[in-house]
Amino acid sequence: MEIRNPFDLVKATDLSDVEIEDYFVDFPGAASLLARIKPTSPMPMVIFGGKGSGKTHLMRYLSFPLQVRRHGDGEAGRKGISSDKYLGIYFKCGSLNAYRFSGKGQPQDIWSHVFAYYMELWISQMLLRTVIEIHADCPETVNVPALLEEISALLDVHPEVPINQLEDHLTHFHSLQRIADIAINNCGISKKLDLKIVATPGNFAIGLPKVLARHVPTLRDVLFVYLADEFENLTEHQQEYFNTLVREREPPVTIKIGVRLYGIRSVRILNSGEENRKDSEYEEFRLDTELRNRREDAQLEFATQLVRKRLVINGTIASKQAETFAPSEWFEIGDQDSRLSAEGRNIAEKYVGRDTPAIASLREKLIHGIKIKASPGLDKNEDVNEIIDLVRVPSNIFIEKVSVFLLYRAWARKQSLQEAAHTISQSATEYLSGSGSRSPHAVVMKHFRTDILAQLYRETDQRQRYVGFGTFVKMSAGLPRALLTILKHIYTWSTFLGEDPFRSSKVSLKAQTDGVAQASEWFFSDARAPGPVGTEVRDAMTKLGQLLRDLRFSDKPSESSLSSFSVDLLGAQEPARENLANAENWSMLIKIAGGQHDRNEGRVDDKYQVHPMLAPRWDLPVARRGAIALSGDEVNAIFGTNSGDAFERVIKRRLSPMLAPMFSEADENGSRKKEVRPLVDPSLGLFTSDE
Amino acid sequence: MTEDLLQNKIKVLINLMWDDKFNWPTVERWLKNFEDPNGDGSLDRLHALFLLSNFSYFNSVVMRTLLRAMYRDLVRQPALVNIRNIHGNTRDWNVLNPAYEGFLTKTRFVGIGNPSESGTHLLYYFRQENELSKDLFVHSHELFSVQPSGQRLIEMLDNVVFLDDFCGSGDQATHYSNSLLRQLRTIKKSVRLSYFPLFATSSGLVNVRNNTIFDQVDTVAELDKSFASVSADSRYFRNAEPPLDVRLAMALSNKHGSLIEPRHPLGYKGCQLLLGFSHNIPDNTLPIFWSFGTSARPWFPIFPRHSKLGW
Repeated sequence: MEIRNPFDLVKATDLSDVEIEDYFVDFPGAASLLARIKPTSPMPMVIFGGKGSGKTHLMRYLSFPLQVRRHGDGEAGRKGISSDKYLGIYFKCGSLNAYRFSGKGQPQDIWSHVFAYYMELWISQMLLRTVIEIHADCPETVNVPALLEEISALLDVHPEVPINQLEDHLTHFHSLQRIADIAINNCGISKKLDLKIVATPGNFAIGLPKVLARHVPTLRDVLFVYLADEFENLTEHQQEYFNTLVREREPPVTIKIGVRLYGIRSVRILNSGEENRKDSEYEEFRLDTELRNRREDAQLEFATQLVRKRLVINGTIASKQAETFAPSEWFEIGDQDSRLSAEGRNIAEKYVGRDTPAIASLREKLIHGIKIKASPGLDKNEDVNEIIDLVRVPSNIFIEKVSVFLLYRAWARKQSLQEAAHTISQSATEYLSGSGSRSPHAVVMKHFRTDILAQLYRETDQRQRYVGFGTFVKMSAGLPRALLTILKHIYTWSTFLGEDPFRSSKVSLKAQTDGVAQASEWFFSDARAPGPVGTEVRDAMTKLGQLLRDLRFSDKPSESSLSSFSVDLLGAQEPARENLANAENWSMLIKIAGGQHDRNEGRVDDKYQVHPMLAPRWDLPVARRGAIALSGDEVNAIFGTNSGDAFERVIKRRLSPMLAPMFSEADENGSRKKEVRPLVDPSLGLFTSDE
Repeated sequence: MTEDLLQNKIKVLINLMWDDKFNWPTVERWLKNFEDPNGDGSLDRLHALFLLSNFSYFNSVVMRTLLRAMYRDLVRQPALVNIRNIHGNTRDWNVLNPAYEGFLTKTRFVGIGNPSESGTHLLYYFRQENELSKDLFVHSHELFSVQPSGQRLIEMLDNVVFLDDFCGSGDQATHYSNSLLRQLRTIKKSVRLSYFPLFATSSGLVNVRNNTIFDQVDTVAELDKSFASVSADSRYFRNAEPPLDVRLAMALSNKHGSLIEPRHPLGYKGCQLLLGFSHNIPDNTLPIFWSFGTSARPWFPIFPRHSKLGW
């Protein structure tokens, strides 16, 4: 039997109600995301989240159709809703064709009225349909005559059609909506908005639930929760209608708004200059930040549950197997020996009888250094051989690479290279014998292991390793869709390579590497804003990625696991600030809470990490340790609209202190270079610079 | 171009265009054909992969689309243009529809080759896709059958359209049709005889045009000499960067082709095509893709060809 890719469906909008229920995963106990959204709390909430953070899945999970799925039809459903103490009315603002309510020769305030009226009709129909469905099998339990009368009274103009049952009201509201549709759609041609508004804003969105609660027993003590998804698809003025609901809500109504990070265009309310305030009128919930900030083991468990569910539903594993199924065991992770002994031997094989790339490059730089009198303690080319002999570690190419790194570091400090080489040689011997736990090699391995390994892979034509389930979870950084997309591509590659993933064979390193690369490309193109803004952000991210990559692969990188930077926004121009904000809003950058303390100026700068999904694009680390502090000029050169020359100057100035033989103190124009400052990462409490 | 990039491209082709016919281990098995125990073999491997990455495989969905295009562009539209000319350039469908129905009743579609061959195999799909009556399709011998009116069928027709999937050298169409066409023409001088292959090489079309009495020879997709994949004119190597080299690709194809298909090492009459269809692979394609080899030199084909006996 051919097994479909279990990770094929990655968007909640593509899922049926059954799939929403089946694929749903939450954190256990008090850590539950649902509990954080607090469906029974009357306090309105804005749920922020990047694309793919799971907003839609969560909100749909709270909606009425899913409540019924959980509790069952009929009496069981009614009891379930009563015990839930909320009724979820989910809708997507994107399905309103919001652009219809603008222009066409009509002033904006007219459109605001029309939109509000239209929303009242729309919401009323959703409510009535829900109530009809709840009591479909026992309409007699509802006090229909009184209910119908009170609903009619909510209208400014009493219905001219006979109203004998709830369905009649539904039909009436539908016909009012159709009349509005025709008027709105024809307005562009006739230039007249021929529409009579027969309901006052709020009368239905807030008033109808009150009426229903009075007359429908199931809804007596239930909170009506409007779940307004895709809020970013509304215009500023349309958002004001919902802001007004947030402000004027009364029991038994509340509203939860799902919106992308960039999606709030206004916090004002209709017909007044007043604004809603966070924690006063509403509270915020930032979903991807919340997921990212969970403990690492909790994130891993959450991801494991996601995978287990998919594999069980898809038939890859049996449900009884699921509880103990550990996805992490199904991915090859390569040589885990800290010295890379086995893999290192394989890599070294092709350099038998000749210099490894690290040694060849070092030799070249030492000779050049002698020529320009920049190799401390060395006078002639023969001295180079002595250094090379001391640094070379024929038995372990990885440890040799560490030795080369240590020599570059000594060189940058202007130490005698001969003395340094002797120390390094001794340190390598100790480290290899297992006795050098405090040796320079051991210290460097502690902080720079992944960077030196990355350099080794790169210079020996190996591909960078982004492998292992834990790595994929870290890469997704609070975006479950990113994790599923990684797994989707890996699964495709794995089967293409003839493997039987999660059944009889582990996923190979190659399938993981290729799948991750594809997922990273998807993220880069999918996560960007549309239009010119997207292009500018993409260009800026490309420059940033290039800078971080060049620093990571320099001779003497000063920061370990460099994927972060802080910015001096005081010196940055507006276009650069905007692009920076857009990059964050579109999840290409993650803002680090607490920022970065500038030790020299005493300032707290904003700090960002390149989204780990983008790490493979520029061979950057997934982890975050070191950071560089970008000056205002540098921010302008990377994120602004400055010429490419300005960026080239930044690259040169940043790189020159890290490249042999000069490890220069002057930039290409001869002026004194700015000191590269060591940074303290407050979120890790680690001293991350080797300076 | 690196092997990784080629692998990426081939994966996309397999997933999206080649109906997931095989996976990478199958490609590896095919690549083993090229291994040389005495050599490095990496260049041969790279060239084989490059050729594979340029292979055009037309799956059944695409074939059906092409059959619709064939009917629309080569049969229906020209006939409608003709009908409009006759009827004062009218656009009135009340006039055009009955006239076109009349055109169809005096037209028959015939597959080239015997009924087991691919030209005739396509007729079924051609009829389905274009919603044509099965009465419009006949075997060639039926053209001579006597109808209830006492006439032979050919006498009642204005058009006979011969359909084929592929015209490589044009030899098959020439050999097959010459005696048949002359007999038809003898019986009915005015009948219009057309030959429409879905794909055809430019030289094959010229051969058929020059050496048969078809009134019309046309195709949906014409392949000029740049489709000869390992020739100096090859379109595939036009922008290929070293170490990819068309001369190496020619040597590779020829070396193995000579062993597995000694009579036509670069495909029938040296066509060198990189072409395959869901129902079969033309023998004009490089044999390294489709041949099973010989008992002395067995070969694992990546796109196996279901062979006729003889060429």
